[in-house]
Amino acid sequence: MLKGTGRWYLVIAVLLSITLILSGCGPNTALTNGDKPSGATPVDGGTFRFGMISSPSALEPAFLEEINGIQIGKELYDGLVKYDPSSLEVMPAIAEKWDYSADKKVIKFHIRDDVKFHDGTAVKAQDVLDVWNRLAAKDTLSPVAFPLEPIVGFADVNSGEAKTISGLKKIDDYTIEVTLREKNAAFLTSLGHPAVSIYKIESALKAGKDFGTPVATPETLIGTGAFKFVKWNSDQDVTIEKFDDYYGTKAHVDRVVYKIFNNESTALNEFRAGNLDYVDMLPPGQRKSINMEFPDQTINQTTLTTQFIGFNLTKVPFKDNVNLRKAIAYALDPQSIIDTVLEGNSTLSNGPLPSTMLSYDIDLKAPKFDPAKAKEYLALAGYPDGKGLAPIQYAYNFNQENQKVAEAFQGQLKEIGIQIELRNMEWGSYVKAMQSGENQMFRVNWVADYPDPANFLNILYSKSQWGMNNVVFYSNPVVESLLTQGLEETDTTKRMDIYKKIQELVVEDQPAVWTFNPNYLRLLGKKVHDLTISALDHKDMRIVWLSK
Amino acid sequence: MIRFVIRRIFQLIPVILGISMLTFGMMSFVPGDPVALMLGQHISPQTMESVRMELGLDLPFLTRYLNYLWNVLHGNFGRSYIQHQEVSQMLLDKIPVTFCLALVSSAIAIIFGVLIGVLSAVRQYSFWDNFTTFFTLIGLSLPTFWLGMVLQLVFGVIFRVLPISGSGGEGFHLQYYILPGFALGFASMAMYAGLTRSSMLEVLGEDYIRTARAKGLSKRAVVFKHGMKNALIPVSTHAGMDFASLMGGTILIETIFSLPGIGYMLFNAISRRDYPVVQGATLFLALVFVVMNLLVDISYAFLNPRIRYD
Repeated sequence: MLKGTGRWYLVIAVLLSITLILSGCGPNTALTNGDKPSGATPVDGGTFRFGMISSPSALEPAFLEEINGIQIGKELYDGLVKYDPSSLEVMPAIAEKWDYSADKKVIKFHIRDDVKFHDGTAVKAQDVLDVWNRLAAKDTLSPVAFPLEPIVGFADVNSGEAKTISGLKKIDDYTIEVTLREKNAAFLTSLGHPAVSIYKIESALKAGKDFGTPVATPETLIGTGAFKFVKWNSDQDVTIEKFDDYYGTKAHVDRVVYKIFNNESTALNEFRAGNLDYVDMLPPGQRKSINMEFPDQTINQTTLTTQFIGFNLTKVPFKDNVNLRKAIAYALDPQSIIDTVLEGNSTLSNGPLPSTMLSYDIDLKAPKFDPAKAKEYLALAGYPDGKGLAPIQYAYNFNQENQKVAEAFQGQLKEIGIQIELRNMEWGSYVKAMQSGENQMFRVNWVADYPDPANFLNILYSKSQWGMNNVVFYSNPVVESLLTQGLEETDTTKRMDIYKKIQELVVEDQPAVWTFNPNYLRLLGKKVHDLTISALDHKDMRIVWLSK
Repeated sequence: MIRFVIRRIFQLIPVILGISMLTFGMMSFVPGDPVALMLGQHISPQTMESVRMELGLDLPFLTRYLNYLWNVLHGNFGRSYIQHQEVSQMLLDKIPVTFCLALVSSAIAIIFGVLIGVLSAVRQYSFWDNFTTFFTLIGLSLPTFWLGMVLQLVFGVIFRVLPISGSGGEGFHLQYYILPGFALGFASMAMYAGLTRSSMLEVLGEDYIRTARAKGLSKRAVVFKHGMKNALIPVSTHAGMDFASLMGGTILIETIFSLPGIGYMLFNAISRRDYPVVQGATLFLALVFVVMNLLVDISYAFLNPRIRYD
């Protein structure tokens, strides 16, 4: 009896194993879709099914902070300017042109007279003023009002002392005048951020706090973009539809449905079953197998993101000890981590700017992995072979990848005698600890808000950002003066030279070890054409099209 | 009986208060700064501090808790820090999904579990019985998330007979609940099978079953009419608590199957430190558990008059 049963157990075990093997090697169903010859004429129509990992937080421009909200928001709303999806150059949008005053502090924006809200009414200068005043208002509590910060009177509105920004003026129905406190070469670029884009304020005020939340309706969420809002099924999907009266080039696809997942594997399975045209994020650790499963269906985009290990310059042992900071920089081998832990999902960083950023300096002489030099600098720092150096705390926000990278760093530094204690932290606590200067050494990941070097250098290395984004508490009077010059210089060539000089000085001071510039692997169906993913990680739904 | 029910209802009050305090306390004392998450890094520490004050996060714990309790008693669970939506509205939107999932899951677990259990008891020591024992062991040991992923691949990707994720939009679409319901209810199914088997074996050995057989009743009539009726009493009392457990156990399954229920919402809220949502959802799930417990007690007292009412 037992013998017979044992045989059955074996059969069941084999069946289970087969199921497992089959499930691991699901057929590449997306490959059955039709192919297209390159350079084909775009076809209008169809629904683009976008696999999005994690729900957008909000669709109100004032809260478009995280990438998924931005992704949808930039289709629903247009600003005065926009970015070219490929080059990220600033292009006219609602404003067809703009003129600067002689001192470059006043900008006059000329608004197109054919821009319509999604309810068919015309967009006028007053709409821009109302939306911007609301964004700046204290009660709005917007985390992304920063593009308006250089305008005269912004601080008064942001602190609740005034209701309207004094530096904003309506000249006529189609002209507005913006007065800046100082010359600011990055201001125009920052206006491409979707936070400052234009929506119908009357409907937003009527919706109150429900504006841009999952209970929004097409009657309350009225934008100016190439797509209009249809529905947001909370934690499930967001649907947007082509706006036929859009003033610019009209979208090819009729609809975009952003299907929301919390799990990358589920999104991948939906793609395998042919239910998605695009997957925005793939399961970690499966990069190679996905490339093999879907050859020619992946896009690998380097983003305007920099990752670095920051040193707290106000705390021992890094305070006034550039040699110790250099020793760590020479001891670390980020390339080996890219090749193993990150599966090639990043490129090596050589300084404060990512390689895709304007003014990036390929010749920058940042320390590269060299254990002999690391030991040399460690001795110069006063800790030969690490003797006398207490264990250093390394903090990072917890996720599996960060944990593995931190462990790899720990192992590499141990090689030269530096002991590292790992401190994994929840995001909110981690940010607070960095801003308050609590940690000694920590992971920093900075994603550009807009494509300008000022968004890296002036934010991360200016003393004015101490306690906010300058989490290493870096301060160098020469760099500070150059940062101001860089912001004010309007001649692009001269400006880029200034930023190159800044990079050299910052690298010399070594307030950080710049490690990775992350890139992301994306998966797209065979019917998808002309999908452009910018370095800001924006996927342009206005030019994408689907073959029949 | 009525006095027993009223007394049990009153006993719930301190339990619910305790749960609310525990939930509120846990969210208050775990590390994390919701304001930093809300406002990002472009905001000065001064503004962050003023927002903390506006949200009342600087007040002493007890004051905050009493404020929270007062608001909850008035149906106000607060507004999500992240999605800016009323938590009560969010709960109302998500409850039907989680309820349907638990219901489908319970139905799958009970129907298949009981059937397997009965068959196993009737054919004791047969291949089927041994298979059931093995199945029970597997069912109780398999990780839910793994089973969920395998089901997705087999039925959603390979055979393409059932949807992989989502709830199918507004209304109830049974096909969207089958795979998650099965994954969620698999362990319960195994448990019901084991419970039914042992209960059935006990009943089948009773004198009245022998009498029924002696009367010449068919095997089917003996098993299903006389045996199962009595064997299912422990199963039915267990079903209530199991339903509550399934409601509370939906976090993983809803996340894997992208089912927009309470569990999915809770998962997102925890990872984003969205305090009002975490508190609201946890309180709701705890309430379900407590109420189901009460219903089970009452039904048990009703089914078994030997239970003392006072």
